[in-house]
Amino acid sequence: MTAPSTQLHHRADAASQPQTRTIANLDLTASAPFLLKDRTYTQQYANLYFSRLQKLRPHVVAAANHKWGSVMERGTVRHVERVVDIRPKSTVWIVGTLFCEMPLKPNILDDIASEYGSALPPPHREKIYSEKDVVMLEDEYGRVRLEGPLLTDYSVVTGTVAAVLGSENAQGGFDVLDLCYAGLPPLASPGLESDDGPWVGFVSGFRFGVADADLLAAQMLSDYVAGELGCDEDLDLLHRVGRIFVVGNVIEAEHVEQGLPEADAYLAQMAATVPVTVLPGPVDPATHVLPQQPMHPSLFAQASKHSEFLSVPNPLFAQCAGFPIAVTSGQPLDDLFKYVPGDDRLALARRMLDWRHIAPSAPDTLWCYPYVDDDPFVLPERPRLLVVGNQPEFATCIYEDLTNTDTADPDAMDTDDTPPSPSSVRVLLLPEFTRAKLLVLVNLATLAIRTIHFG
Amino acid sequence: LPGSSQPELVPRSTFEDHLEELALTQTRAGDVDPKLTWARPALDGPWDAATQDLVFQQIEADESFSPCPAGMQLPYASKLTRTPMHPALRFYGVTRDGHSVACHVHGFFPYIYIPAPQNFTDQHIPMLVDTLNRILRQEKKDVDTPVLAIESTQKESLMNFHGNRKSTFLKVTLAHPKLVPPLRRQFETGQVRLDGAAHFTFATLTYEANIAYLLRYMIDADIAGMAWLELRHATYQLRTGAHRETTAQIEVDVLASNVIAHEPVDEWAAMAPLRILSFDIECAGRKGAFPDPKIDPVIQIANMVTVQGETQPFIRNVFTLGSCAAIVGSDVRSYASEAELLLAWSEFVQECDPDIVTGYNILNFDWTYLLDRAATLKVTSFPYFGRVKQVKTEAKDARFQSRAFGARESKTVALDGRIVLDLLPLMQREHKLRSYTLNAVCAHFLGEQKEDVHHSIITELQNGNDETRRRLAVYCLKDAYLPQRLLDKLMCIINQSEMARVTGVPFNYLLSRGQQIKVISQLYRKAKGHDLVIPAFKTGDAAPVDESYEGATVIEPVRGYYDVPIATLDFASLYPSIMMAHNLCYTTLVTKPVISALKLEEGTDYVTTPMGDCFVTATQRKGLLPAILEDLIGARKRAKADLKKETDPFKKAVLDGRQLALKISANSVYGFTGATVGKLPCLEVSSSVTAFGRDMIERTKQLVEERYVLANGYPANAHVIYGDTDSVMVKFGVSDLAKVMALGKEAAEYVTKHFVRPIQLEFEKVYFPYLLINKKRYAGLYWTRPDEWDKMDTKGIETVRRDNAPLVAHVIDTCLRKILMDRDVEGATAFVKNTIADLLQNKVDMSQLVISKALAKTDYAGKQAHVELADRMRKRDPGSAPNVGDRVAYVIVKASKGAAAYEKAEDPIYVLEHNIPIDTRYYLDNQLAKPLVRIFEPILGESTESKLLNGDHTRTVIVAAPTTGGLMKFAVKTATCLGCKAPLKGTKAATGAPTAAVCDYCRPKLPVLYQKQVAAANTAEERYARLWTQCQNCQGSLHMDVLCTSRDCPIFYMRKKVQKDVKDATDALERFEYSW
Repeated sequence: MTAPSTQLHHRADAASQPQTRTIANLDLTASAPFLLKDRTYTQQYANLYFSRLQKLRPHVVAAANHKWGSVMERGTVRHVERVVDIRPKSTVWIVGTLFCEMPLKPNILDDIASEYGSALPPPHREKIYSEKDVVMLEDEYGRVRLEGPLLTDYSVVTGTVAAVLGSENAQGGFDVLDLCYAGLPPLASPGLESDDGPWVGFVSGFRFGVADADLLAAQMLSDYVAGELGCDEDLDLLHRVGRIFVVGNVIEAEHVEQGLPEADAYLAQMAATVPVTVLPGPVDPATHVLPQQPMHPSLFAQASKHSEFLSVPNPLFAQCAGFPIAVTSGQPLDDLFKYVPGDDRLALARRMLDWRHIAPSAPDTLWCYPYVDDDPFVLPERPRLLVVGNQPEFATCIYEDLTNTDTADPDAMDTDDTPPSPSSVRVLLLPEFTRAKLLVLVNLATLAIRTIHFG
Repeated sequence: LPGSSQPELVPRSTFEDHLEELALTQTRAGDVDPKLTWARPALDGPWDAATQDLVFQQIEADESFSPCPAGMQLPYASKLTRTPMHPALRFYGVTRDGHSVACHVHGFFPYIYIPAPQNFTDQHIPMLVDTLNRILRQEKKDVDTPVLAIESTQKESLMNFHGNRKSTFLKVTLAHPKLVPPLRRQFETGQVRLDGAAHFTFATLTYEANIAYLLRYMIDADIAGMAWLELRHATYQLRTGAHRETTAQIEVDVLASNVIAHEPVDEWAAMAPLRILSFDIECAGRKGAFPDPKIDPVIQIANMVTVQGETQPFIRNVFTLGSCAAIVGSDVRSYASEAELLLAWSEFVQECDPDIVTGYNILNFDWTYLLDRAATLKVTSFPYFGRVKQVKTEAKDARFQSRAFGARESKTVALDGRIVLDLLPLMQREHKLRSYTLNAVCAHFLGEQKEDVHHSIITELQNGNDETRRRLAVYCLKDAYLPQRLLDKLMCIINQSEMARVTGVPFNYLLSRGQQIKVISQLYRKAKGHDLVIPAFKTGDAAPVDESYEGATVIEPVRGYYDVPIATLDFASLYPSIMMAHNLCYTTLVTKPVISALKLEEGTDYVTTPMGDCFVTATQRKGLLPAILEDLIGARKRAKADLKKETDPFKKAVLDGRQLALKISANSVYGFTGATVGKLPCLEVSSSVTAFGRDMIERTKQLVEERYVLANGYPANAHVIYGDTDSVMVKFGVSDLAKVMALGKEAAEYVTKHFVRPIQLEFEKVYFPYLLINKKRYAGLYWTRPDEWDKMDTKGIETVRRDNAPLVAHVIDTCLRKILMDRDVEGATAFVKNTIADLLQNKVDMSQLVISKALAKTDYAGKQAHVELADRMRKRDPGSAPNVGDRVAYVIVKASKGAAAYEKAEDPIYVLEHNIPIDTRYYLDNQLAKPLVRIFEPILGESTESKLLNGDHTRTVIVAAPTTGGLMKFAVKTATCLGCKAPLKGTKAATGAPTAAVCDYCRPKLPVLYQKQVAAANTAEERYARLWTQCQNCQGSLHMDVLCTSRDCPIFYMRKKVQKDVKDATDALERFEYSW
């Protein structure tokens, strides 16, 4: 899955052979809703759920019609508009927001009880799923309890919008036979089918300021990107790297006084040779609730002097050299991880694409801004690339749209053996640099991937 | 705050899901569709009285009038020929198979006793009969022969010892219960005389003339409340067709003498499958007014019907006005008009035929409202809910007066043949809580918060569409289900049933009557077997009303903080055992003339109590009260022994309920003798009991302090540091817990030997450490084993008083934990100082400062804070202002100097919205200071106040800047530097122009200050997210806004406050944009 790490050696002649670098332009229009202005807090979260359902429902309905079209033609199944219109003894499908009721879900009432001395503080949990979890499907009119073994297969998560097919059972629950998500939007403009597409680099989790931040490895990375390390092949490739994304956890907020100058100097150095885009992450000295606001450029006094240094929000939806990409610093995936057994993070990341939503567990367990008439976390278009930063391990796969091709075997899509189609999406889980010392280069046109290990 | 420790895995399921779960388990259990079957299971076939025994648990009974059924031979039949109707009793109940029964009992007649005058013989009886008939015919003209019989019988008066000699009493049997009071009055006023040849005057005191006809029969027939009755085949008759008076499935007639009552033991301890209906109504009020049944419609009625002993309701439905979307697991029935709705509900109640009707505050609200509303709408066939056909259900005013509970005015609604069990008064009687709203009670007992929709929103929801009405219906169903869950959780039905069985009174008496009737019932039952008759004193007659007697006193406490184990010696059931030990009773009280007449010897024949009253010993006569007490205590011992052996959870619950009822009953006997306004006070008994008690405490102190001394080879001299009512605290001077326990045990045995049996001093527990604050105020860690403590025990320390802010209870509780559990006095003082600092710096959560008081009526004479506040709130917004009966929540805010206290109360929401400064000093001085000094003084000594309440931690005071009122209109708000708080020149926040974050001087520190502000914003944002998602989860809907306004919820004020905090924090963050 992983390309072998390139052998590194110092190039003496790097400075003497200047070459022109192709810059990958970044269009941030799609991230506009993530930049919060005139925040208000008199509203509640119902609006966000409402907007999400409104936004995704037509797509889910379309996907469901496609998926279940044949059985509907036979007349055995029909679509019911509202949860409350389900009647016993008929097989129907309905669309709504999934909600998991989980006894282990952190509850602020427990925290307050412990704050005021009457109970032990609730334990922090890696996972919050349990056998007592109950899944509900809810629309504007009511909710129904979902049942059936299928639910575990689907790793159901709170806040996703889905169509469920099944029938009301004698107990008033809804036995689920099949489930369908919105899936990705169709491709807006076909990707370039050539080898000379733009490359971009991704790295996350430098954690400047902490003792074990590997400054040497970071320096090697910077030198490498600048073309001062590596062989000639590398150099050809490096000239085509049009942008480096630093995907969160740049600085440990707890050690900001040491970390900030280090980070600034480092990013300034890098920005001198290649465009650098920085997202805030969960440990950064930034706002923590999603969407995380861009770290203020003034924090990076040196780096900001370079016009190609850009501080952006997390999550980020952007067009990079004309290719749509979606990047998060990891919080949505880390939160989803709590909902399901097992540790297949890649599968969860793929699910985000099925759902057409990158942070469904917000606001339930992933804290976010209470948007009034929009859910900006819905994927606006089919991305070429989905990057999740600050993960424990590197992992990647090519995602093909499964929702509309019911014959596809999800596992077959896992490898790079299948040549990516123009509508494919590269899913990339990016490890923290402090741990893995990894830079990942992706060709946005071919979705080819190179990983370079430092250290 | 919610229940302390909840098991981790209990899902916090929302109510709708729960409804579904109910549906789920039900169908699995193979029940019928709840939407289809309301009625009771049908009889297998026609009931055959000639061959079938009828066995049923009677749950309720009343008095009636009835013609004699054909073929039934009543006693005194010859005297009744000219009066077609005679008194009868109706017992209602349920068979083992769940069929309802109404049983008419005939041939029992009321009677009273009068002492026969001297020389009165049986030959004078006809003359007396004639005389009484003459008198009584004028009292009640429709009774042809008022006196059915007079018999002479040998009885003894309950009052005083007369040497065990019986005398002649005349038992006068009457044709009608209504004749009893006039007859009694005739005797009491001395108007009954026999003139002529035989000349007699009669005593003015009558006997057993003040007991209700129903209870009289139950006593004579040995029928206890909730007892099983049996009618053998062919001894009773089935009523059919037009003769049926009731809606019961089986209606029968029987002679009083043919009713067999079973004592509630073994198989007869079981409970019939009683049907319990729990319901709740919603009405659409107008803004600013409490719903008025003359104007405001009833819009929904939700119902849950459960079979006693089963965990889940088998009928769940809601009747709605206007269409309503479906609710899974429930039957939604919609009606176009209110009259149809009311009528349908009435029919539903009749059809499902509940034995017990419950709900929360249903007497004063739901029932009354429904009945008034139906009257307003002229739905004439609505108010028939009893089991007797043609009897209209009415709400009546009731005044409940009890020494234990004070006077309460309320409504009562009687449903003939059904028990009406309103949980609100039951909660108020049996549990001491901060608040009795359904929310608070649920939070306390069920450990969950309840969504609370304000009544002004209810109307909006009703006026919306199918879906908003559905929302309301879910809410209404929940409110109907909660009382049922509380009943189950608190075992109310079982505990009350056992109380009825132990004391013999009908179930409904326990809810509507005081404590006395329970003792009276037992006294009559016991007296019957001993040929004793009970005088009918006029209330307040027996003794001078103002004669008060000394209550239990205490050994003056040696206040302090004890860091050594303090052994506690307790007298088990002190007052009952004194009465038993010294044979104290009405029947053993002996007067000086009788002592000399009978030549009784002091010590052997009688004893003189510390009060100087004399009681004969058991060798002369065994007292009736001691016999009752022995029965109760013996029965309790048996119940507790059985409880240990029993494994079936349901039978266990019954036994536990019984032992509790027995304990309460035993303890209430003493109180009965001391109730000066009671039916049968006997202060000689009650004052002697307490006098003995005081002596015993003193004597115990003396015995312990004499024996446990160094001189006798004990490790130290023991001291009794405190003694109260029935317990004595001993400091043995030993620090080893196990040794103290051994000494305590030994001392208890040693002291017990000096008292008369069955008085027993028991060693139960050791307090270690022990904080003795004052009389009836102490706290300690409670140990029963030397290796591990059991709990923290506190007495008389501010925790539940509602005029205290929750902060007080929290601080005191935490301090006591730190002092007693962690033995960390320094930690406790540090905690107090921190809390005081937080308070003065305005960091304490608002909900901790909210005080609440019930708004009883609006015409208080003096100005009261909460009443004034309610007025002010009404002026601001009539819709959300509290109404009479609501609790007004308020905080104390800063006001101008000299402002009256009542002007300083303010609505917490208003305070949050307008940033009004809280008078934190008030909370420190008037709320925290006293209780804190009280608990710390024994530890820190004289300087407590200066150390704890004054000092550095009180120097920093932060006051919120109000956004409204007074001078603020004229003030120009200048932005200050986020670093040094210096005003920033040339900025006016009010203009809305962007403001820099810091002053020039602080500019170099910008990144650091920015970090601080980011951290503050993160905390606020996360809190906002967590609080509001929690409310979303609690209400069980993601797509609809949270409407809940439950002020009892611990996060209600927090989530309001956080909206402001997060706005302030993010606004400040944005100022940095202009500073970089």
